[in-house]
Amino acid sequence: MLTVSNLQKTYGSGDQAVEAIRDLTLTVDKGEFVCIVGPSGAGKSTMLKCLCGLLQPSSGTVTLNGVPLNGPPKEIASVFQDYSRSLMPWFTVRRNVGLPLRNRHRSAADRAARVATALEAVGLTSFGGRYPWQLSGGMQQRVAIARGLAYAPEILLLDEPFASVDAQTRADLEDLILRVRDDTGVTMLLVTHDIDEAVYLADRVVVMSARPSVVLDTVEVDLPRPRDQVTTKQLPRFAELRAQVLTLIRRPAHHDSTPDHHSKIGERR
Amino acid sequence: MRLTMPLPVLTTAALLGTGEALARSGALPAEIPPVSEIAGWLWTNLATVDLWMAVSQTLTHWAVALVLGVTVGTLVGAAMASVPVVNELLLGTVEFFRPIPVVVYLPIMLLLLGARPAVVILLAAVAALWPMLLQTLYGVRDIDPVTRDTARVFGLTTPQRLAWVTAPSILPYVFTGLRIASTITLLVAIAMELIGAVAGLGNTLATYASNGLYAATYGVIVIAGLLGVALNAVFERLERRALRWHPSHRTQNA
Repeated sequence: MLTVSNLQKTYGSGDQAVEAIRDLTLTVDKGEFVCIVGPSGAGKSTMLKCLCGLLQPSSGTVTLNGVPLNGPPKEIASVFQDYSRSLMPWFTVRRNVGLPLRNRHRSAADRAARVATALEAVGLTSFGGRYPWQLSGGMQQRVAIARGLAYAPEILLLDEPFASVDAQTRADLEDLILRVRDDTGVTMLLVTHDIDEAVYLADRVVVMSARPSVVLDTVEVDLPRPRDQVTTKQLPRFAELRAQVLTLIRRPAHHDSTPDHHSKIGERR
Repeated sequence: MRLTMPLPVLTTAALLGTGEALARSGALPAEIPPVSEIAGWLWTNLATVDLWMAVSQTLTHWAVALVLGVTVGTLVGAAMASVPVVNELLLGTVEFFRPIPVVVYLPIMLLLLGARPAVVILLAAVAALWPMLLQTLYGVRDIDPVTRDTARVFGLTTPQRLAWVTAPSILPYVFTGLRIASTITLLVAIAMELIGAVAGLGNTLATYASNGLYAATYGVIVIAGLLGVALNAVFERLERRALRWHPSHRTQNA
Protein backbone atom coordinates (compact mmCIF):
# COMPACT_ATOMS: atom_id res chain seq x y z
CA MET A 1 0.00 0.00 0.00
CA LEU A 2 2.66 2.51 1.06
CA THR A 3 6.02 1.70 -0.43
CA VAL A 4 9.24 3.51 0.32
CA SER A 5 12.23 2.51 -1.75
CA ASN A 6 15.79 3.74 -1.36
CA LEU A 7 14.62 7.00 0.15
CA GLN A 8 17.50 9.41 0.61
CA LYS A 9 17.32 12.98 1.91
CA THR A 10 20.10 15.53 2.12
CA TYR A 11 19.56 19.07 3.40
CA GLY A 12 21.61 21.90 1.93
CA SER A 13 24.43 21.45 -0.54
CA GLY A 14 28.21 21.55 -0.78
CA ASP A 15 30.07 21.80 2.52
CA GLN A 16 26.83 22.60 4.33
CA ALA A 17 25.10 19.43 3.19
CA VAL A 18 23.66 17.26 5.93
CA GLU A 19 22.58 13.77 5.01
CA ALA A 20 19.58 13.02 7.21
CA ILE A 21 18.54 9.77 5.56
CA ARG A 22 20.87 7.54 3.58
CA ASP A 23 18.77 4.62 2.46
CA LEU A 24 15.30 3.66 3.65
CA THR A 25 13.23 0.91 2.15
CA LEU A 26 10.03 -0.30 3.73
CA THR A 27 6.46 -1.20 2.93
CA VAL A 28 3.33 -0.78 4.97
CA ASP A 29 0.42 -3.06 4.11
CA LYS A 30 -3.24 -2.22 4.44
CA GLY A 31 -4.49 -2.47 8.01
CA GLU A 32 -1.02 -2.92 9.45
CA PHE A 33 0.31 -1.17 12.53
CA VAL A 34 3.95 -0.35 11.87
CA CYS A 35 6.17 1.39 14.40
CA ILE A 36 9.44 2.98 13.43
CA VAL A 37 11.99 3.31 16.21
CA GLY A 38 15.36 4.93 16.14
CA PRO A 39 17.63 6.95 18.38
CA SER A 40 17.03 10.68 18.83
CA GLY A 41 18.09 12.65 15.80
CA ALA A 42 17.74 9.64 13.52
CA GLY A 43 15.97 11.58 10.81
CA LYS A 44 12.63 10.10 11.84
CA SER A 45 10.73 13.35 11.41
CA THR A 46 12.41 13.97 8.06
CA MET A 47 11.28 10.54 6.95
CA LEU A 48 7.68 11.17 8.02
CA LYS A 49 7.67 14.49 6.21
CA CYS A 50 8.74 12.65 3.05
CA LEU A 51 6.02 10.04 3.63
CA CYS A 52 3.21 12.56 3.97
CA GLY A 53 4.34 14.58 0.98
CA LEU A 54 5.60 17.65 2.84
CA LEU A 55 9.19 17.07 1.75
CA GLN A 56 10.51 15.92 -1.59
CA PRO A 57 13.12 13.14 -1.17
CA SER A 58 16.58 13.85 -2.63
CA SER A 59 16.40 10.45 -4.29
CA GLY A 60 14.32 7.31 -4.04
CA THR A 61 10.55 7.09 -4.22
CA VAL A 62 7.48 7.02 -2.02
CA THR A 63 4.46 5.44 -3.66
CA LEU A 64 0.96 5.11 -2.32
CA ASN A 65 -1.21 2.41 -3.92
CA GLY A 66 1.26 2.37 -6.78
CA VAL A 67 1.16 6.12 -7.40
CA PRO A 68 4.27 8.22 -6.61
CA LEU A 69 3.63 10.97 -4.07
CA ASN A 70 3.52 14.51 -5.34
CA GLY A 71 2.53 16.72 -2.42
CA PRO A 72 0.33 15.70 0.52
CA PRO A 73 -2.14 13.00 -0.60
CA LYS A 74 -5.72 12.93 0.64
CA GLU A 75 -5.31 9.30 1.78
CA ILE A 76 -2.87 10.29 4.53
CA ALA A 77 -3.53 12.20 7.75
CA SER A 78 -0.93 13.18 10.32
CA VAL A 79 -0.81 13.56 14.07
CA PHE A 80 2.10 15.77 15.06
CA GLN A 81 4.11 15.53 18.26
CA ASP A 82 3.54 19.16 19.14
CA TYR A 83 -0.24 19.32 19.50
CA SER A 84 -0.16 22.85 20.91
CA ARG A 85 1.28 24.12 17.63
CA SER A 86 -0.60 21.76 15.34
CA LEU A 87 -4.05 22.61 16.71
CA MET A 88 -5.25 26.10 15.83
CA PRO A 89 -5.75 28.03 19.08
CA TRP A 90 -8.18 30.43 17.38
CA PHE A 91 -10.66 27.63 16.58
CA THR A 92 -12.76 25.56 18.94
CA VAL A 93 -12.16 21.82 19.24
CA ARG A 94 -15.09 21.18 16.88
CA ARG A 95 -13.77 23.63 14.29
CA ASN A 96 -10.27 22.14 14.53
CA VAL A 97 -11.53 18.61 13.95
CA GLY A 98 -13.78 19.75 11.11
CA LEU A 99 -11.10 21.91 9.50
CA PRO A 100 -9.99 19.43 6.84
CA LEU A 101 -13.52 18.33 5.96
CA ARG A 102 -14.60 21.42 4.03
CA ASN A 103 -13.10 20.21 0.77
CA ARG A 104 -14.50 16.70 1.12
CA HIS A 105 -18.07 16.97 2.25
CA ARG A 106 -20.37 19.63 0.96
CA SER A 107 -23.16 19.27 3.46
CA ALA A 108 -22.60 20.97 6.80
CA ALA A 109 -24.76 18.36 8.52
CA ASP A 110 -22.58 15.61 7.12
CA ARG A 111 -19.46 17.39 8.36
CA ALA A 112 -20.95 17.92 11.80
CA ALA A 113 -21.84 14.22 12.03
CA ARG A 114 -18.31 13.19 11.11
CA VAL A 115 -16.82 15.56 13.65
CA ALA A 116 -19.16 14.19 16.33
CA THR A 117 -18.19 10.62 15.48
CA ALA A 118 -14.49 11.43 15.61
CA LEU A 119 -14.83 13.24 18.94
CA GLU A 120 -16.80 10.32 20.32
CA ALA A 121 -14.07 7.92 19.24
CA VAL A 122 -11.55 9.77 21.39
CA GLY A 123 -13.99 10.36 24.25
CA LEU A 124 -14.28 14.13 23.92
CA THR A 125 -17.94 14.43 22.95
CA SER A 126 -18.71 17.15 25.47
CA PHE A 127 -15.63 19.26 24.71
CA GLY A 128 -16.44 20.34 21.16
CA GLY A 129 -17.19 23.91 22.15
CA ARG A 130 -13.98 24.42 24.11
CA TYR A 131 -10.73 25.84 22.81
CA PRO A 132 -7.73 23.47 22.64
CA TRP A 133 -5.77 25.53 25.17
CA GLN A 134 -8.52 25.03 27.72
CA LEU A 135 -7.78 21.29 27.69
CA SER A 136 -4.96 19.22 29.19
CA GLY A 137 -2.07 18.02 27.01
CA GLY A 138 -3.45 14.51 26.68
CA MET A 139 -6.88 15.83 25.69
CA GLN A 140 -5.33 18.13 23.11
CA GLN A 141 -3.52 15.20 21.53
CA ARG A 142 -6.86 13.33 21.48
CA VAL A 143 -8.30 16.28 19.56
CA ALA A 144 -5.44 15.98 17.06
CA ILE A 145 -6.14 12.24 16.74
CA ALA A 146 -9.85 12.97 16.22
CA ARG A 147 -8.94 15.44 13.47
CA GLY A 148 -6.86 12.76 11.78
CA LEU A 149 -9.73 10.26 12.05
CA ALA A 150 -12.38 12.69 10.80
CA TYR A 151 -10.30 13.08 7.64
CA ALA A 152 -11.03 9.34 7.09
CA PRO A 153 -7.53 8.53 5.84
CA GLU A 154 -6.25 5.17 4.67
CA ILE A 155 -3.09 5.78 6.66
CA LEU A 156 -2.63 7.71 9.86
CA LEU A 157 0.94 8.91 10.39
CA LEU A 158 1.84 9.64 14.01
CA ASP A 159 5.06 11.50 14.73
CA GLU A 160 6.09 10.77 18.34
CA PRO A 161 2.50 11.56 19.30
CA PHE A 162 2.85 10.78 22.99
CA ALA A 163 6.27 12.25 23.66
CA SER A 164 4.91 15.40 25.29
CA VAL A 165 2.50 13.89 27.82
CA ASP A 166 2.99 12.25 31.21
CA ALA A 167 3.42 8.49 31.61
CA GLN A 168 -0.15 7.67 32.70
CA THR A 169 -1.67 9.74 29.89
CA ARG A 170 0.75 8.12 27.52
CA ALA A 171 -0.47 4.64 28.41
CA ASP A 172 -4.09 5.77 28.05
CA LEU A 173 -3.40 7.28 24.62
CA GLU A 174 -1.59 4.12 23.47
CA ASP A 175 -4.67 2.08 24.34
CA LEU A 176 -6.90 4.67 22.70
CA ILE A 177 -4.93 4.35 19.47
CA LEU A 178 -5.18 0.54 19.59
CA ARG A 179 -8.94 0.74 20.13
CA VAL A 180 -9.36 3.25 17.31
CA ARG A 181 -7.40 1.01 15.03
CA ASP A 182 -9.57 -1.99 15.92
CA ASP A 183 -12.74 0.05 15.35
CA THR A 184 -11.74 1.70 12.08
CA GLY A 185 -9.17 -0.63 10.57
CA VAL A 186 -7.08 2.37 9.55
CA THR A 187 -3.44 1.66 8.74
CA MET A 188 -1.11 3.13 11.35
CA LEU A 189 2.47 4.25 10.97
CA LEU A 190 3.86 5.54 14.24
CA VAL A 191 7.31 6.94 14.85
CA THR A 192 8.72 6.80 18.36
CA HIS A 193 12.00 6.60 20.22
CA ASP A 194 10.37 4.51 22.94
CA ILE A 195 11.05 0.81 22.40
CA ASP A 196 8.39 -0.42 24.83
CA GLU A 197 5.80 1.69 23.08
CA ALA A 198 6.82 0.39 19.66
CA VAL A 199 6.68 -3.27 20.70
CA TYR A 200 3.44 -2.80 22.62
CA LEU A 201 1.60 -1.20 19.73
CA ALA A 202 3.00 -2.66 16.54
CA ASP A 203 2.51 -5.61 14.25
CA ARG A 204 5.97 -4.84 12.96
CA VAL A 205 8.79 -2.67 14.28
CA VAL A 206 11.19 -1.08 11.80
CA VAL A 207 14.47 -0.14 13.47
CA MET A 208 16.32 2.86 12.10
CA SER A 209 19.95 3.74 12.69
CA ALA A 210 21.30 7.10 13.82
CA ARG A 211 21.86 9.75 11.15
CA PRO A 212 22.42 9.24 8.27
CA SER A 213 19.61 6.74 8.68
CA VAL A 214 19.30 3.30 7.21
CA VAL A 215 16.87 0.51 8.12
CA LEU A 216 18.78 -1.76 10.48
CA ASP A 217 16.20 -4.50 10.62
CA THR A 218 12.52 -5.27 10.92
CA VAL A 219 11.10 -7.15 13.91
CA GLU A 220 7.79 -8.97 13.57
CA VAL A 221 5.76 -8.58 16.75
CA ASP A 222 3.82 -11.81 17.31
CA LEU A 223 2.23 -10.78 20.59
CA PRO A 224 -1.45 -11.67 20.94
CA ARG A 225 -4.15 -9.05 20.57
CA PRO A 226 -5.98 -7.35 22.20
CA ARG A 227 -3.01 -6.03 24.07
CA ASP A 228 -3.04 -4.91 27.64
CA GLN A 229 -0.69 -2.55 29.45
CA VAL A 230 -0.17 -5.05 32.28
CA THR A 231 -0.53 -8.56 30.91
CA THR A 232 1.06 -8.00 27.51
CA LYS A 233 4.08 -6.33 29.05
CA GLN A 234 4.46 -9.26 31.49
CA LEU A 235 4.80 -11.81 28.70
CA PRO A 236 8.30 -13.30 28.30
CA ARG A 237 7.89 -12.76 24.56
CA PHE A 238 7.45 -9.01 25.15
CA ALA A 239 10.80 -8.90 26.97
CA GLU A 240 12.45 -10.91 24.19
CA LEU A 241 11.17 -8.62 21.44
CA ARG A 242 12.09 -5.56 23.46
CA ALA A 243 15.64 -6.88 23.94
CA GLN A 244 15.88 -7.70 20.24
CA VAL A 245 14.98 -4.12 19.24
CA LEU A 246 17.20 -2.60 21.90
CA THR A 247 20.19 -4.67 20.73
CA LEU A 248 19.63 -3.49 17.17
CA ILE A 249 19.50 0.15 18.22
CA ARG A 250 22.62 -0.03 20.36
CA ARG A 251 24.68 -1.84 17.77
CA PRO A 252 26.88 0.64 15.87
CA ALA A 253 25.66 1.14 12.32
CA HIS A 254 27.86 -0.59 9.76
CA HIS A 255 28.04 2.49 7.56
CA ASP A 256 29.62 4.43 10.39
CA SER A 257 32.87 5.88 9.15
CA THR A 258 33.66 8.54 11.73
CA PRO A 259 37.40 8.89 12.49
CA ASP A 260 37.09 7.58 16.04
CA HIS A 261 35.21 4.49 14.91
CA HIS A 262 37.96 2.07 15.86
CA SER A 263 38.60 3.53 19.26
CA LYS A 264 34.86 3.22 20.01
CA ILE A 265 34.92 -0.46 19.22
CA GLY A 266 38.06 -0.82 21.31
CA GLU A 267 36.30 0.70 24.31
CA ARG A 268 33.43 -1.73 24.05
CA ARG A 269 35.78 -4.67 24.14
CA MET B 1 -7.91 51.87 54.94
CA ARG B 2 -8.84 50.66 51.48
CA LEU B 3 -7.59 52.70 48.55
CA THR B 4 -10.72 53.35 46.55
CA MET B 5 -9.35 55.95 44.16
CA PRO B 6 -7.09 54.65 41.40
CA LEU B 7 -3.58 56.09 41.59
CA PRO B 8 -3.54 57.62 38.08
CA VAL B 9 -6.43 59.86 39.13
CA LEU B 10 -4.30 61.16 41.99
CA THR B 11 -1.46 62.02 39.60
CA THR B 12 -3.80 63.84 37.26
CA ALA B 13 -5.42 65.76 40.11
CA ALA B 14 -1.99 66.77 41.48
CA LEU B 15 -0.82 67.99 38.07
CA LEU B 16 -4.00 69.98 37.46
CA GLY B 17 -3.88 71.47 40.96
CA THR B 18 -0.22 72.50 40.63
CA GLY B 19 -0.85 74.04 37.20
CA GLU B 20 -3.80 76.00 38.52
CA ALA B 21 -1.89 77.27 41.57
CA LEU B 22 1.20 78.28 39.58
CA ALA B 23 -0.82 80.12 36.93
CA ARG B 24 -2.93 81.93 39.58
CA SER B 25 0.18 82.97 41.53
CA GLY B 26 1.56 84.70 38.46
CA ALA B 27 4.65 82.52 38.31
CA LEU B 28 3.78 81.41 34.77
CA PRO B 29 3.69 83.59 31.64
CA ALA B 30 0.35 84.66 30.18
CA GLU B 31 0.73 82.01 27.42
CA ILE B 32 0.00 79.35 30.04
CA PRO B 33 -3.47 80.03 31.44
CA PRO B 34 -4.93 78.45 34.61
CA VAL B 35 -6.53 75.04 34.23
CA SER B 36 -9.89 76.41 35.27
CA GLU B 37 -9.89 78.86 32.34
CA ILE B 38 -9.16 76.05 29.88
CA ALA B 39 -11.96 74.01 31.42
CA GLY B 40 -14.24 77.00 31.20
CA TRP B 41 -13.48 77.46 27.51
CA LEU B 42 -14.10 73.78 26.84
CA TRP B 43 -17.40 73.94 28.73
CA THR B 44 -18.74 76.88 26.72
CA ASN B 45 -17.40 75.67 23.37
CA LEU B 46 -18.15 71.97 23.49
CA ALA B 47 -21.57 72.66 21.98
CA THR B 48 -20.31 74.87 19.13
CA VAL B 49 -20.37 73.74 15.53
CA ASP B 50 -16.91 75.12 14.74
CA LEU B 51 -15.12 72.88 17.21
CA TRP B 52 -16.90 69.71 16.13
CA MET B 53 -16.36 70.64 12.51
CA ALA B 54 -12.61 70.72 13.16
CA VAL B 55 -12.76 67.42 15.05
CA SER B 56 -14.65 65.73 12.22
CA GLN B 57 -12.21 67.10 9.62
CA THR B 58 -9.25 65.73 11.56
CA LEU B 59 -11.00 62.40 12.12
CA THR B 60 -11.73 62.14 8.41
CA HIS B 61 -8.08 62.77 7.58
CA TRP B 62 -7.11 60.20 10.19
CA ALA B 63 -9.55 57.53 8.98
CA VAL B 64 -8.81 57.80 5.26
CA ALA B 65 -5.06 57.95 5.84
CA LEU B 66 -5.18 54.97 8.21
CA VAL B 67 -7.16 52.82 5.78
CA LEU B 68 -4.78 53.71 2.95
CA GLY B 69 -1.59 53.24 4.94
CA VAL B 70 -2.75 50.02 6.61
CA THR B 71 -3.92 48.49 3.33
CA VAL B 72 -0.72 49.27 1.44
CA GLY B 73 1.48 48.41 4.42
CA THR B 74 -0.20 45.03 4.98
CA LEU B 75 -0.06 44.06 1.32
CA VAL B 76 3.56 45.09 0.83
CA GLY B 77 4.64 43.55 4.14
CA ALA B 78 2.91 40.25 3.31
CA ALA B 79 4.43 40.21 -0.17
CA MET B 80 7.90 40.88 1.21
CA ALA B 81 7.55 38.14 3.80
CA SER B 82 6.26 35.49 1.43
CA VAL B 83 8.07 36.23 -1.86
CA PRO B 84 11.88 36.39 -1.45
CA VAL B 85 12.34 38.35 -4.68
CA VAL B 86 9.96 41.08 -3.52
CA ASN B 87 11.87 41.28 -0.26
CA GLU B 88 15.19 41.65 -2.10
CA LEU B 89 13.72 44.32 -4.36
CA LEU B 90 12.13 46.44 -1.65
CA LEU B 91 14.16 45.97 1.52
CA GLY B 92 16.75 48.67 0.72
CA THR B 93 14.12 51.17 -0.35
CA VAL B 94 12.04 50.54 2.75
CA GLU B 95 15.05 50.90 5.04
CA PHE B 96 15.95 54.20 3.33
CA PHE B 97 12.53 55.87 3.38
CA ARG B 98 11.26 54.54 6.71
CA PRO B 99 13.32 56.78 9.04
CA ILE B 100 12.57 59.97 7.07
CA PRO B 101 9.99 62.08 8.94
CA VAL B 102 7.06 62.68 6.61
CA VAL B 103 7.01 66.41 7.38
CA VAL B 104 9.99 66.91 5.03
CA TYR B 105 7.73 66.16 2.07
CA LEU B 106 5.22 68.81 3.11
CA PRO B 107 6.73 71.84 1.27
CA ILE B 108 6.88 69.95 -2.02
CA MET B 109 3.39 68.55 -1.55
CA LEU B 110 2.01 72.03 -0.80
CA LEU B 111 3.63 73.33 -3.97
CA LEU B 112 2.31 70.44 -6.02
CA LEU B 113 -1.20 70.12 -4.61
CA GLY B 114 -1.83 73.24 -2.53
CA ALA B 115 -3.13 73.34 1.06
CA ARG B 116 -5.71 70.61 0.56
CA PRO B 117 -6.93 67.70 2.71
CA ALA B 118 -5.34 65.34 0.17
CA VAL B 119 -1.89 66.52 1.28
CA VAL B 120 -2.64 65.75 4.93
CA ILE B 121 -4.14 62.37 4.06
CA LEU B 122 -1.27 61.35 1.81
CA LEU B 123 1.46 62.20 4.30
CA ALA B 124 -0.40 60.68 7.25
CA ALA B 125 -0.93 57.53 5.18
CA VAL B 126 2.81 57.29 4.49
CA ALA B 127 3.44 57.57 8.24
CA ALA B 128 0.88 54.81 8.93
CA LEU B 129 2.37 52.55 6.29
CA TRP B 130 5.71 51.80 7.95
CA PRO B 131 4.64 50.26 11.27
CA MET B 132 1.98 48.23 9.45
CA LEU B 133 4.46 47.00 6.86
CA LEU B 134 7.00 45.91 9.45
CA GLN B 135 4.46 44.23 11.73
CA THR B 136 2.96 42.27 8.84
CA LEU B 137 6.42 41.28 7.68
CA TYR B 138 7.36 39.96 11.12
CA GLY B 139 3.95 38.35 11.56
CA VAL B 140 4.06 36.34 8.35
CA ARG B 141 7.65 35.26 9.04
CA ASP B 142 6.62 34.14 12.49
CA ILE B 143 3.85 31.76 11.37
CA ASP B 144 4.52 28.46 13.11
CA PRO B 145 5.97 25.88 10.69
CA VAL B 146 4.02 23.09 12.43
CA THR B 147 0.76 24.99 11.86
CA ARG B 148 1.76 25.54 8.24
CA ASP B 149 2.55 21.82 7.79
CA THR B 150 -0.76 20.89 9.39
CA ALA B 151 -2.64 23.02 6.87
CA ARG B 152 -0.76 21.41 3.99
CA VAL B 153 -1.14 17.83 5.22
CA PHE B 154 -4.89 18.26 5.53
CA GLY B 155 -5.11 19.63 2.02
CA LEU B 156 -6.36 23.16 2.73
CA THR B 157 -6.54 25.28 -0.40
CA THR B 158 -4.57 28.52 -0.66
CA PRO B 159 -7.58 30.76 0.16
CA GLN B 160 -8.43 28.50 3.11
CA ARG B 161 -4.87 28.67 4.38
CA LEU B 162 -4.92 32.45 4.09
CA ALA B 163 -8.20 32.78 5.96
CA TRP B 164 -7.81 30.05 8.60
CA VAL B 165 -4.07 29.94 9.22
CA THR B 166 -2.20 32.98 7.92
CA ALA B 167 -4.70 35.66 8.94
CA PRO B 168 -5.27 34.44 12.54
CA SER B 169 -1.53 33.77 12.96
CA ILE B 170 -0.52 37.32 12.07
CA LEU B 171 -3.47 38.97 13.83
CA PRO B 172 -1.52 39.80 17.03
CA TYR B 173 1.11 41.58 14.92
CA VAL B 174 -1.54 43.31 12.83
CA PHE B 175 -3.21 44.74 15.93
CA THR B 176 0.08 46.04 17.29
CA GLY B 177 0.72 47.64 13.91
CA LEU B 178 -2.79 49.11 13.87
CA ARG B 179 -2.45 50.70 17.29
CA ILE B 180 0.93 52.24 16.46
CA ALA B 181 -0.27 53.35 13.02
CA SER B 182 -3.46 54.90 14.44
CA THR B 183 -1.52 57.01 16.95
CA ILE B 184 1.08 58.12 14.41
CA THR B 185 -1.59 58.95 11.82
CA LEU B 186 -3.44 61.20 14.25
CA LEU B 187 -0.20 62.95 15.26
CA VAL B 188 0.86 63.50 11.66
CA ALA B 189 -2.60 64.60 10.53
CA ILE B 190 -2.78 67.28 13.24
CA ALA B 191 0.80 68.38 12.60
CA MET B 192 0.24 68.69 8.84
CA GLU B 193 -2.99 70.65 9.36
CA LEU B 194 -1.09 72.94 11.69
CA ILE B 195 1.91 73.58 9.45
CA GLY B 196 0.14 73.39 6.11
CA ALA B 197 -2.92 75.41 7.17
CA VAL B 198 -5.40 72.71 6.16
CA ALA B 199 -8.77 72.85 7.95
CA GLY B 200 -8.87 70.62 11.04
CA LEU B 201 -7.83 70.59 14.71
CA GLY B 202 -4.23 71.48 13.84
CA ASN B 203 -5.22 74.55 11.90
CA THR B 204 -7.72 75.60 14.58
CA LEU B 205 -4.93 75.33 17.13
CA ALA B 206 -2.61 77.52 15.03
CA THR B 207 -5.32 80.14 14.55
CA TYR B 208 -6.11 80.39 18.27
CA ALA B 209 -2.42 80.53 19.22
CA SER B 210 -1.51 83.24 16.74
CA ASN B 211 -4.45 85.35 17.95
CA GLY B 212 -3.46 85.04 21.59
CA LEU B 213 -6.49 82.94 22.58
CA TYR B 214 -4.52 80.80 24.98
CA ALA B 215 -7.35 79.09 26.85
CA ALA B 216 -8.81 78.06 23.49
CA THR B 217 -5.41 76.81 22.30
CA TYR B 218 -5.08 74.53 25.31
CA GLY B 219 -8.69 73.49 24.97
CA VAL B 220 -7.92 72.16 21.49
CA ILE B 221 -4.82 70.42 22.81
CA VAL B 222 -6.94 68.69 25.45
CA ILE B 223 -9.38 67.56 22.78
CA ALA B 224 -6.57 66.22 20.60
CA GLY B 225 -5.24 64.29 23.60
CA LEU B 226 -8.66 62.84 24.44
CA LEU B 227 -9.12 61.86 20.82
CA GLY B 228 -5.86 59.91 20.90
CA VAL B 229 -6.81 58.15 24.12
CA ALA B 230 -10.28 57.29 22.81
CA LEU B 231 -8.99 55.87 19.52
CA ASN B 232 -6.38 53.80 21.33
CA ALA B 233 -9.05 52.45 23.68
CA VAL B 234 -11.22 51.44 20.73
CA PHE B 235 -8.37 49.49 19.15
CA GLU B 236 -7.45 47.82 22.43
CA ARG B 237 -11.06 46.72 22.83
CA LEU B 238 -11.17 45.34 19.30
CA GLU B 239 -7.90 43.54 19.92
CA ARG B 240 -9.13 41.93 23.12
CA ARG B 241 -12.21 40.69 21.31
CA ALA B 242 -10.42 39.37 18.25
CA LEU B 243 -7.58 37.76 20.19
CA ARG B 244 -9.54 36.05 22.97
CA TRP B 245 -7.66 32.87 22.06
CA HIS B 246 -4.21 34.44 22.26
CA PRO B 247 -2.04 33.60 25.32
CA SER B 248 -1.87 37.29 26.30
CA HIS B 249 -5.67 37.63 26.42
CA ARG B 250 -6.84 34.25 27.67
CA THR B 251 -9.10 34.46 30.67
CA GLN B 252 -9.57 30.81 31.53
CA ASN B 253 -7.28 27.84 31.39
CA ALA B 254 -7.44 24.12 31.94
